[in-house]
Amino acid sequence: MSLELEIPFETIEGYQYIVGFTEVKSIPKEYNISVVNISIALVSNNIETNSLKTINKFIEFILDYLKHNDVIIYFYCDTAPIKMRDNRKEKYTNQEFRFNLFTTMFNKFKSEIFYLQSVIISDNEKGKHYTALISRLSNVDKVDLVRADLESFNK
Amino acid sequence: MKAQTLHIEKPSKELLEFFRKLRAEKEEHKAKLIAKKDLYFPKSK
Repeated sequence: MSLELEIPFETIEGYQYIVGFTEVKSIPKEYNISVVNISIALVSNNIETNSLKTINKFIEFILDYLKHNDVIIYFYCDTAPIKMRDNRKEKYTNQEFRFNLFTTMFNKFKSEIFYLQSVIISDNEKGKHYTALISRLSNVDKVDLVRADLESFNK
Repeated sequence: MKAQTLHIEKPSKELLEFFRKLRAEKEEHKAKLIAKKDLYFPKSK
């Protein structure tokens, strides 16, 4: 069964997105489970403001995909500009802001069925990498193996 | 069930290269999706 999937989606505010799932082939180790990358591409020409409704919709797409495919989803938070409130006290990068919003919303949603392991990799040259591994709770052991392998690369 | 964020503060060179490669692959995937805009959102005539 193909793991490729593309979902066009338009928000009530008029933002047009294509949500795409594609298998990651460059994983250096076998975990007995496929790893699938999700990309959320804004195709309309504007800077997005993500409403909670839109974030929930993205989470719904992910969870629906996981209901039909027993995989680990690799979610790399986008670095593209996003509108944030000007009076916000904390200053975040675009990617960090998306990461905080997404993980907070995800953890409020169905975390008794699905599992999210957030991973931040510091990178002095290219900026931090904000990512998450998402899967069914039944795959927590496999996600933990990935986590342990990642930790072994921490000097 | 909520997992604690794993923060790799001092990643090895291999890990950094791997994540940079994943970032590049994601950008490539995103560009392919954006190129399909007219297919999924045809302009009304």
